[in-house]
Amino acid sequence: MTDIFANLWFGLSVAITPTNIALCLIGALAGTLVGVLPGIGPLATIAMLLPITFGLSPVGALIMLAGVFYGAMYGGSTTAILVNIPGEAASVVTTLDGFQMALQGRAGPALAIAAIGSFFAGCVATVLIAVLAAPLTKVALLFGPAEYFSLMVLGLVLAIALANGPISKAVLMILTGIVLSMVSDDVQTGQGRMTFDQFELSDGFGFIIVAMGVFGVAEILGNLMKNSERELVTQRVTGLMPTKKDLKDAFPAILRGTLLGSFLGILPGGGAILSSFASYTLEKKISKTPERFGKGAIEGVAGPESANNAASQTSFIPLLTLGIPANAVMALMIGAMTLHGISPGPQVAVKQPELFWGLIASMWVGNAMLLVINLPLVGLWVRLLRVPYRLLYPMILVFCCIGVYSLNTSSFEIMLALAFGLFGYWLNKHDFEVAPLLLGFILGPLMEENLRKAVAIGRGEYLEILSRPLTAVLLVTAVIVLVLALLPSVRKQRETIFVE
Amino acid sequence: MKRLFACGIALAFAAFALAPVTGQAQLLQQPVRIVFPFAAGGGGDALARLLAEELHKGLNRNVVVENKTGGAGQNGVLEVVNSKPDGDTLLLTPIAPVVVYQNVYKNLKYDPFKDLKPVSLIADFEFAIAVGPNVPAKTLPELVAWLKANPKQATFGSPGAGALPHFFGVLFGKAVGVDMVHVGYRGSAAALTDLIGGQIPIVVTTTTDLLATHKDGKIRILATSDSKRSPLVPEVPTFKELGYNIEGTAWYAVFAPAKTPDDVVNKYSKILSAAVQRPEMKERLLTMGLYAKGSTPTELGKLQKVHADRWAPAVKASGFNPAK
Repeated sequence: MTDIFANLWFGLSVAITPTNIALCLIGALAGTLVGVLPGIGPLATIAMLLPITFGLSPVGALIMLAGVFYGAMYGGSTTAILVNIPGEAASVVTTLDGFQMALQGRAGPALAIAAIGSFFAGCVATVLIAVLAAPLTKVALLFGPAEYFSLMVLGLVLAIALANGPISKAVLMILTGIVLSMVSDDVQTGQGRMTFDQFELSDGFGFIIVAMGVFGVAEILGNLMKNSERELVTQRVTGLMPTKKDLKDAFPAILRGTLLGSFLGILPGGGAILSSFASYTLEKKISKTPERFGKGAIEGVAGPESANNAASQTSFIPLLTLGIPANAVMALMIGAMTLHGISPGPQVAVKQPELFWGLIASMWVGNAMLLVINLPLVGLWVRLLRVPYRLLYPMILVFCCIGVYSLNTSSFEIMLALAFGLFGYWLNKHDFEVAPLLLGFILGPLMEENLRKAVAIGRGEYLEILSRPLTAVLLVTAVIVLVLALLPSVRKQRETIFVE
Repeated sequence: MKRLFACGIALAFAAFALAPVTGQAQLLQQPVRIVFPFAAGGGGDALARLLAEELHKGLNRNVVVENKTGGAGQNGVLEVVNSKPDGDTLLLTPIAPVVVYQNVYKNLKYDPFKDLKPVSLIADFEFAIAVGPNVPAKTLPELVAWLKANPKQATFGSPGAGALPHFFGVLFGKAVGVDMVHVGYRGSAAALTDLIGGQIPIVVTTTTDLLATHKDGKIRILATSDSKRSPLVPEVPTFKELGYNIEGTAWYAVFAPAKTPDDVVNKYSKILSAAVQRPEMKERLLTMGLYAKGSTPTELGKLQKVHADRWAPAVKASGFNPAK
């Protein structure tokens, strides 16, 4: 134990040299900026910054790139709260209550609690990485394709709890999301599915395009139809910082979100995405007043925000201990390491302790910096909402277009985002919620891919999947949850809760 | 409704305003574009950016990298095929879109031999076969014996269905007479995780991607796919040495639109070949797992033909054929 603190101390001494602090600040700032601008994600930013880091020391380069990553994670929630556009998959859930809070004039507390929750989660995850990296990796390795498939099934079943309306509508939205995600070339055989031989469709619809359409554009269309109601709302901003009661409500949620996120983050592929959904579901389930969720409950922002930050940080664990990236951003970090002549893997901690512990300690420094950057910015962001809507919405639209265009330099995709906007508007009009749709869209392909892999490994034996203990437990849990949700007595209760 | 309409107009206008960016830029001296048909961030993308820097120095003109993704690389190749052949557009591509796609996609919208002009081979790399902790085999012959004794376990992972390691795994299965079931992952990292965790017994991918975990002893590389041993793992024999007559390498090369004038192509070829042969460039490429090459346009054209003939039977045997 003392070893670990000595190591962390050593890491801090590396991370808080003036150059490294400056690099961390630049990274976090750049990350926040790209996170706030919809479309341009951390992946593209890190790719573009990579050549600039050639002249830096390896540790400085990694500190800066890591700063971009968690800066963007935080910036993404800013747009989710302010304008209802999730900047990346993990912020989808933040729109549910965060944007509602903004509508009630509580954008300040929502942004602040997201920053505080992220900071807390970041601190805990840093210590977890230092203490538990090795044993946690072993847990992650127990998860094969069959286990991931079951985890995704459980995730989708839990998603039903996300919705506020009737179960049938939630299920329908999840299924629609899955169907939309199936438009692409099949992963195992390359056959086009619903692509009509158009190779624009062969890679499927991008998450950003769907999310921007059904959330962002649809929201704007809805507001324009309702005339200038939105302008009135933004006039009554009540306080920038969370009240004592807010903090008291949010703190347990932050704690639970952090734990959940820390665990799910170490699972490669989808773990970090699941964490925010899982945290939201958990908060809603154990809340004494679940009817407040979706209407601006602060726990609904605090929990998922903490969870996704914890997860994005623990996703470094497989990278640092096995040399295996948990997601595309981590793969880029490996690229950055190799370009600096470091081969990632367990030997990094032994051979380059200043790099390993310096990076870990810099995460803490980076999180502290994000808090320092973002808390004062809260006032600025909230003031942005006071800009008359007739001026604000063309700007949002233009930024959306730039964001979409920057992904693939394709004007077709901008049209696609508009089409999804119309679709989302239609869904809103008919009281279908778009969050379960997006969840289906994200988890569907992961579920399918893992099922196909599991079956291929078992040489076509579907039942083999059930014989694995971890899989069986997860699937049985999913069935129980589903039955409970469908049971007439429970359903009645649920409806009285949600429909009031 | 009026507002809804206005909003639609605004969005549509923005879409069209953004589309003809390249057209307007022609007023100034247009930068040379290197089109890379895959997303920013991968290994090949870093290579594109290194080459852009070299061309910039060699030509004294601005050079930009454009990531034109889609259709597993087809979109980017098409972008180059349909560009003006004035020497301002180049394609940096991995081997597959210009060597195997005509056998994979029945309705491929370009002919890799007629619609493109070879410029220069940049670098190549080989594949390797590795086994995880649950496989007792220490050598390739032991692995073959183990596969024959446990045919139910004859499953291998690759970084993607339709990628060359997939086809190479099929070639291996054919060479040793075992029915190998393929499992396509998304990238080497995902396949490696399952290999280390014992979820899958065998993975075929690039030597570079396997290197770190092999050195840690978590997995074992049993053979490499070039005609000579890999400088990254010189202690590991090649398939050929062990008596299996299979060979496979992949590469990155630069192409231009078919009608680009020969003198322009030759000029680019000289600059690029000289650049990749510089010692510090060689070293940087090696850290990315690439062996620096460089070639004349004619040499690259021949290589493209030879490799197309080599992979055709493997693609056929794999059953991977989306247009069927």
